[in-house]
Amino acid sequence: MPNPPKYFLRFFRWFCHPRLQKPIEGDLMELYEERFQELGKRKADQKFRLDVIQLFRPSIIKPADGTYRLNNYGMLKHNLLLIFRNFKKYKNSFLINLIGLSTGLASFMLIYLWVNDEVQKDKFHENKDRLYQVLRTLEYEDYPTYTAESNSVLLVPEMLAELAEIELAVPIMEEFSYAILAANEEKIKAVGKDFFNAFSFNLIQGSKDQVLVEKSSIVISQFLADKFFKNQNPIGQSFHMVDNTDGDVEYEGDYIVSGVFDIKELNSSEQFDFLLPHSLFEEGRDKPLKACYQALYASEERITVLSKYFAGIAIIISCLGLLALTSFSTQQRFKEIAIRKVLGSTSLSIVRLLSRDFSLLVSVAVIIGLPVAYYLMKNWLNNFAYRINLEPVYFLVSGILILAVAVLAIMIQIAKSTKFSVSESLRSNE
Amino acid sequence: MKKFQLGEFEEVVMLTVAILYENAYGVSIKKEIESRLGRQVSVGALQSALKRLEDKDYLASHDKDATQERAGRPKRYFKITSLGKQAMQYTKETRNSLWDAIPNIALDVKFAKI
Repeated sequence: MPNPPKYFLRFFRWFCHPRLQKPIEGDLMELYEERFQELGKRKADQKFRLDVIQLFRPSIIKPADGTYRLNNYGMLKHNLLLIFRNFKKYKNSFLINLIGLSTGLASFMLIYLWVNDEVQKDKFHENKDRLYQVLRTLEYEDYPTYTAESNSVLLVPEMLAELAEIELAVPIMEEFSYAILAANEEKIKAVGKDFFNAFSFNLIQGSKDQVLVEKSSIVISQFLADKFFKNQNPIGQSFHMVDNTDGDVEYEGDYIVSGVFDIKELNSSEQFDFLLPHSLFEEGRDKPLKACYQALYASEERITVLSKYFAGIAIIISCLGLLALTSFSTQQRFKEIAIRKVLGSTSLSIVRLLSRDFSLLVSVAVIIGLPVAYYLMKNWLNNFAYRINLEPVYFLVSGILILAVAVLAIMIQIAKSTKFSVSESLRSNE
Repeated sequence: MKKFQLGEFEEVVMLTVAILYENAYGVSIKKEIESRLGRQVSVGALQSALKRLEDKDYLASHDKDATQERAGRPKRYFKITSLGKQAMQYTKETRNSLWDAIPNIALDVKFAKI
């Protein structure tokens, strides 16, 4: 049995990709035997050497970082174990980080959701660029200046007559209902006849021009319509409004349903359960009805403007917090990173190491923070007369934002960690 | 973007694998190309082409039992996959369409410039 040059064979076995080695070696042997028969040993040896050298090319050489896949599941388990050990080792800083991050996330969410809601409020009106509210500023000598939303009834015809730019003027009066229609319906408004023309409140039944013309008409919400006239056409049905006070309610009497609206899905600052024609109240009175109710919302609006800035500041501060946090935890592990670098670890694997730790912390904080934010938001919002829709999309968006901030913080930290001096770090006794 | 990437030598290897059908392994492919095209093929060039084609999923391989003549090493047989067939078909069609697009006179020997 002829033997090919043994150093070349050994060389081939050394460099060849293990998956290819056996069959190619077989081919080489077969060719060698054939050439040995035909051309003799010297020529066959020569050709064998040439073949081996020509095989020494990138696609045949085995990759430098090993050809066997790691046991991914085992590695994952090992990594998780390491992370938990790290948490255990630095219990205090872990707890502080976790509490800080969760609180930060929760407040970020709260502000974000609220501002988001405020920004989108009343955007559904088609004429939103042309809607204006007339305010009245009252100046007293011994009281602070006071701005009221209420105005004289006489203002509406006056404005329409005097100011050519005004297309429609809608008086709106709102009051807690002391009259009883059914339980819990307290959001009642008396509005001018062009209410549905000026605003895009969703009128399902009835004509925009006609529903509030007659003094005896009433426009009710879909909710009320379902409640009182289930499976019937509510239009033309009659209501009797009962006064449960001592004759304070001036609108006690019978009303006929002229329209139905559905504003449940709208993000509106105006909320109401049923509407009465404003003309009911125009006779012989111009007394403002709702001074204290409005004052509450006036202050709320001011806070909204402020909170937009606060949300920005909160995000910046939480970024700084995250930055400090990563910086701290990386510094604690400089030695580990240094040893890894000495052993030839790539930058990518260090990035992975650090971000793995950190993303676990962030996800735990998210798991704690988001439900807290959700719960608070829900309870807080119930204190408002109007309601907000807590859509999962908001949580998704804020989740992505949080992750983006976290990634940014990690990246900055890692950029730093690749620059520190390995030998310094290993020599120090910290 | 090109739909199928197939180099000249790769195409030759694919065609040879198809010709040899059930008997396509390293040495037989090499010999077939050498005898049909009259050109020398090194083991390295062939093997790297085979690996590239296998990475592209144009070829599939399986090892057959070791035999005495190869000192106990297995033979790795190659087969064309359906994706490989598509690639060959595609290459052939593009070639044909190019041939068809040539005006008759361009390749007419009588009018060839001297």
